[in-house]
Amino acid sequence: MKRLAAWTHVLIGLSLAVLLLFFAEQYRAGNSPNEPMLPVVFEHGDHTETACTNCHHDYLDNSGSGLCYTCHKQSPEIAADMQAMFHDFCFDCHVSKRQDDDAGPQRECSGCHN
Amino acid sequence: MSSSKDIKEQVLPFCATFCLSVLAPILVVSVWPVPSAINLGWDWANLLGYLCLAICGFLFIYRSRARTFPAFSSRFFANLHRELGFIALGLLLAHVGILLLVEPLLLEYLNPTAPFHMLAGLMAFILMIMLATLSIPPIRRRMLSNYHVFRHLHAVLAVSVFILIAVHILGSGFYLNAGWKIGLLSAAGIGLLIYYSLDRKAPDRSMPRLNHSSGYSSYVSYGCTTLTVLVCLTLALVKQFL
Repeated sequence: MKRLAAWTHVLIGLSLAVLLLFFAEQYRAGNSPNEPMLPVVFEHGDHTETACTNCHHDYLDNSGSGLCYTCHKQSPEIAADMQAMFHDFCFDCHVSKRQDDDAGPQRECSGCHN
Repeated sequence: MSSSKDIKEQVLPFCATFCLSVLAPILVVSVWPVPSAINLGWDWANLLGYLCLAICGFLFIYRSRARTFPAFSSRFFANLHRELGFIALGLLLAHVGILLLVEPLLLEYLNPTAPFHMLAGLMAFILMIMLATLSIPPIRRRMLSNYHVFRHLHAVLAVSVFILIAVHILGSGFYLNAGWKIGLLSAAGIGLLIYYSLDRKAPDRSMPRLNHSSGYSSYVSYGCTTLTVLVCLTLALVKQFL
């Protein structure tokens, strides 16, 4: 009886967590931020070792033109993941470079947004 | 048993077990490959978040009953469970508070359109406040007159909080810069829930109990937690110079 009760707690607890995450994800996917994104400071001079097309991929794949935000914020397919996408993109490079030498900001928001 | 003998033979080993158990995940994420430091406030706050998870995990091990340490009374474990539960909530508040203090832009993550792992953290935070509020006896008696209903609800919410915190930590990926760290922590979390689900032997009631053992719970909860918080601060400080 006790074993059944404990297993039930785990199963219901797990289901509740999954359900909450599912609804949160549904809400998040359907509601891209309406407010303007935080301004980002990007110094081209600090990134001369990085290939231009790493960021400006539209030069290669003809996926659009203009500001990054034009597509990344307004396209419903990618807008919900915009924040995570840009963060991962910058973090990956900064974190991997940090292992050897000093790189740009990794986690401090105010390092890029100000 | 005399008081000094009690402390030497029973309380200190229990304190050592507690400290090592809750510091284990922090030591795992701090060793090779050593993750790079951000700043003192940021690193300390995140280590306090890990400490909160570890204490939540520890709370599953004995479920407020004397089992593995029969020399302590049931009242000792009940007191310890209550004190550690509120300390875990305090650590969660410290984790959020310090991070917002050193990085106010993190307020953006309280938005419902924040990344998935941040929403998991936010929901864990809300559920943990519910969990703690419902555990306060006058509120519990007012809202849930049946104690068994409270116990089941408490257990279910606790499992959910533990899973949501785990999702938050794995999604944030702070200090999880090696596959073995992610694997070990995930296996420990799953193992802990399985252990919780298993039947365990009843306490050995023939063993002599410590006199006034319930009073020792504060040694473990407040004393040991203060020690582990200071260890986290020291580790965060050391990281700045690595």
